[in-house]
Amino acid sequence: MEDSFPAGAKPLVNPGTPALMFVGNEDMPPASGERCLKRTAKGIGQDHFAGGGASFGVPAGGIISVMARTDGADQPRAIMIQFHTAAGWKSRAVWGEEGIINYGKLGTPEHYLAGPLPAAGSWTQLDVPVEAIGLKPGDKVDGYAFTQFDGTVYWDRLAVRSMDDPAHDPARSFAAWLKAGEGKDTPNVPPDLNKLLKQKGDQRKIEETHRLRAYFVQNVCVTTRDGFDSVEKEIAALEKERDALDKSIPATFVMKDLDKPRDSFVMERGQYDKPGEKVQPATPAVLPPLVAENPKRLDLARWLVDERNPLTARVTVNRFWQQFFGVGLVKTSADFGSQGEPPSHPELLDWLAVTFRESGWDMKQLVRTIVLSSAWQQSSRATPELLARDPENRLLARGPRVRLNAEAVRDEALFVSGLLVEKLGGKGVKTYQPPNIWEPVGYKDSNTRNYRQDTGDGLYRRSIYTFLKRTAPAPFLMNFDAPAREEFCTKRERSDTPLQALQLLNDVQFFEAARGFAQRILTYGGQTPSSRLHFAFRTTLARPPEPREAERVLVMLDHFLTKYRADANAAKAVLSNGESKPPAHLDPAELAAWTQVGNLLLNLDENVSIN
Amino acid sequence: MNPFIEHEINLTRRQFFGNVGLRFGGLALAQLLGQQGSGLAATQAADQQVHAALPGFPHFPPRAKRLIYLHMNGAPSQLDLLDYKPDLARFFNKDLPESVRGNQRLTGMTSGQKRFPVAPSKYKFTQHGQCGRWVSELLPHTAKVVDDIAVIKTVHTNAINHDPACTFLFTGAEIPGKASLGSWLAYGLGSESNDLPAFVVLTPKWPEGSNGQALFSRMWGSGFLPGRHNGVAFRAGADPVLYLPNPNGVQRDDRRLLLDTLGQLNQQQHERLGDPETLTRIAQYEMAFRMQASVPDLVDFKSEDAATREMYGPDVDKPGSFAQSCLLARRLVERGVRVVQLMHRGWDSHSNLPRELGNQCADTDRGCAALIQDLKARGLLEDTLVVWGGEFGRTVYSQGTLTQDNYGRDHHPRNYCMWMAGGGIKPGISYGETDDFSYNIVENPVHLNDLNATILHCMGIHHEKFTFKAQGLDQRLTGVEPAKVVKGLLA
Repeated sequence: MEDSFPAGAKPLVNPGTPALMFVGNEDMPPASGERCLKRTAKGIGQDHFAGGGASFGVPAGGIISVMARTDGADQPRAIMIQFHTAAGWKSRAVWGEEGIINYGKLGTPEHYLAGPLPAAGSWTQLDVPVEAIGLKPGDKVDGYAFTQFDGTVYWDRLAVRSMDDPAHDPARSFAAWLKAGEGKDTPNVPPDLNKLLKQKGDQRKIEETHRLRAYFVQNVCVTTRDGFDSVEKEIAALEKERDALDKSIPATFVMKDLDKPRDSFVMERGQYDKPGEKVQPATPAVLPPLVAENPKRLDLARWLVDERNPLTARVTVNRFWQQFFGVGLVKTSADFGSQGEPPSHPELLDWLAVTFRESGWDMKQLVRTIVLSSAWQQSSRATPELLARDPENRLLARGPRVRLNAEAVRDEALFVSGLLVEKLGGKGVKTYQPPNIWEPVGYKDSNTRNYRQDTGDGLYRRSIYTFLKRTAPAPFLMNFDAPAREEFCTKRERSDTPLQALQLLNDVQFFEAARGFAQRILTYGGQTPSSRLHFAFRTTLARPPEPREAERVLVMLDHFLTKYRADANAAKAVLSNGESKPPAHLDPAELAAWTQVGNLLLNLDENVSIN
Repeated sequence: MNPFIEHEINLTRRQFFGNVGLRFGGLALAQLLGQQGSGLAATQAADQQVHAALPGFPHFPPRAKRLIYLHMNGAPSQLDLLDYKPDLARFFNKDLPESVRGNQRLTGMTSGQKRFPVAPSKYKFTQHGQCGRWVSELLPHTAKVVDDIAVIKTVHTNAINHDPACTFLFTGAEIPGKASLGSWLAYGLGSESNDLPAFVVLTPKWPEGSNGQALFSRMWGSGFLPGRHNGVAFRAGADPVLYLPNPNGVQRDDRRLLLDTLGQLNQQQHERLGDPETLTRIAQYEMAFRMQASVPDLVDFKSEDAATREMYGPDVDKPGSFAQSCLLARRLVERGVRVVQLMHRGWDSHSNLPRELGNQCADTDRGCAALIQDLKARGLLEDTLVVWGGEFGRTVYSQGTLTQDNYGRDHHPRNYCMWMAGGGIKPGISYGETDDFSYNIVENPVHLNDLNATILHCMGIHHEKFTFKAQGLDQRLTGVEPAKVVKGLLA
């Protein structure tokens, strides 16, 4: 304190006593500065504050000093300074009569008798060591008080001084800390660092010293460690956030090159214990060479997309073509070699390949090009003459006609039913599956021994999200020629079997979809059977029904309507398939009859084919 | 096969199916109008084959028209069942001589063992049948049919672990992707059944306490062959075929009405676009409808007489039991199914072999023997080939602790026992010899490729001429290295 209490402090006085008063030369020449604090009291009087102002660190071995002057005509019986820390008012030094100011337990730092009253009529410097009043190095003093019993007292310049030798202070000097820790265990230091700390300095590696320094700065050094508190809090919060994010991302394995490539050999007849000729990474001689000296995976990747590579773009566009047309421009889509078939349209293949490469391998653009082509958009109608001349449609005189892939067959049904959950990404889902697909084949202790079907959204996600157990893949996919993914597949079969018919007719996913479709027909298809049928055809086949088709379907609809109107339980049973429930406001008989129509339309050859 | 011919064949098949749909749709409708008076049914003429054979197949008159493959998955111990080694008793707990063990690689499960102590079988062997075959007391029922079967003691394989060994056993290659035996047969020979798949797989239950290895769909997969030749895995119980029952609330006559409407709409679609595939689809829906009737009939055992049931034993009434699967296998081949592959798990007796093997045999012995007797009684054994066995054998040395009563056996690919019976196989013989430790083959080795060549031979197929072009190779079930038909096994 010099001339005033610290900025921000709100000094208080005891109730019923005079207000705070600083006086200057006109009253009393101060011991230093411009002013000094003056108080006249009967009994206990004091000026004090706690909190709100700046706080002060207590130095090791510090001496607190205060200038005091008493008035010989109005002598106090005792004067006192008090200090406030986080622990409260626990530190007091008294000069004069012990105990007359009845604060704190006598004979303790709470009421430490520092000496007799100073001689009256002149300024005296009163000293008290910080340890004597229980202040520890590093404590924060955030308040103090000038107290007296009776008399008039002037106070001036409260300060602390210390013999400060940071170079030998283990709490501030890294070198001192190292020296102090040598040859012994230092409490609170983590074991691995403690081990380093115990060593003699010249035995440590530079990195080890760096680790110790980092620890010292963050945890030991009184002048720096507090600065890390907020940073550490921030780091902890960020780490928590990062860990949560990490956990939400599914892990996958990635490959990387060994730092030092291992030797590779031709294994004789594939036997793991029969290494033959030692080999180096290289490409077949008929193809461009790998340019790098010690080629790695990245070089292979670059080689693949190099414009001199004759295969990548051609093979890729051919696969897309195959996907749309059923047959690639090169029919042997897995074999562009000497045993493969030459392309049916070599110029087209090359144009597509070069355009694809030059577009920056833009797959969407490639797909757009294909589906906007006349070849794709023409009618699939095959006249007997066309069939005879080109049974496989290699010459593309008609549009392609192929059955949808396994995934698309189900996705389409879910889509028209309104059941499809179009959420992107996430973990694999376990949709409807008949019992005893996994169970008879899995290991006893396998975590995929028992199939636990999802409920809710998991039943209605796109088929690509289906959890795949390769030894027992989902039958609804396998039935439609999806590969088990045990080995590569460049082209799917498009078989046509009675098991597919059974699945489309009876599998709960498809029958539930038919009911969902019926709900949409009744909701959005207008009020008449014919407008509803129109809606249903538009939704599944993207065309209105022909009159003869409408006639056939309406005959069937009538039959089922009559049946379900007469037999409410039958209708109820039809509507009970699947986990989702039909809305209560729809007439069950009508909904059941239209479910049969939905089932019919989803089973149409036209519906499961690209036409 | 020439790709052009292959294409022509496929085309022929497609058009054939198409014709079936075209010609018989209307015809059958008329028939059923008469039969049921409802006008709501169609069927296909019974004499038309849905799963047609490839042209030129079989290559020569077959001795067997059907195959039942009883796969004992996990590898049964030949030493405790059929490869009798009476002299082994005096080697109990002695080290298997180095000279016998040679440089045979071991699995990681026993390669670290300090000792390879000989574990003689604790089971009693006695002679059975006219042929005087030595059979372990674990197989009392099989012992009764030894005069009908040919025991092969010298089967050997390339692989030493289950996954590659099973893949090799069924596809002739350790690496996945090749076609399985059953798919090859379905592809080449088609099927006599019009309302059941050509190739059916059964996966019965197995004893709870045994060490069950996983099965893989590739063991009945079509690999590079067209997907329709995949084996169809039947499930235990009333609905062995997936999606067979109608949805809740849908009756058979509802289905008939829907299918009639569907058929007519598809027919109109065919008129618009002229795609023969549409006609195939019509035919397949009709077959699906027939299967809905024929499959429940297939698994309805009510018509089986008491004597037959007694043969298969009390397990025959337990859904999914091995015995029931054996009976089902007979009913399947009776209905013209080409291949039935029965996958029984739990034979991987690394430890506690006596307990596990005892359970395994108790679970299967009666069913196997009953199947042979049943087929024979019905005159089916003459042209049905039955194959029994695992993917490799087991070691003469004990894995883990050896006592008089307890031991385990590791994988042993160098020799093991299988048996064959029926069409084309010489009954009552034992083929091949192993050394005194059942550790090496002494005489007449039968590599798995030879075994598969022999199976194909019995079915009327030259294994070397039966190829399919894939990945630049004329693929064969029996691989690229020479394989031979084992003449000594043939009747």
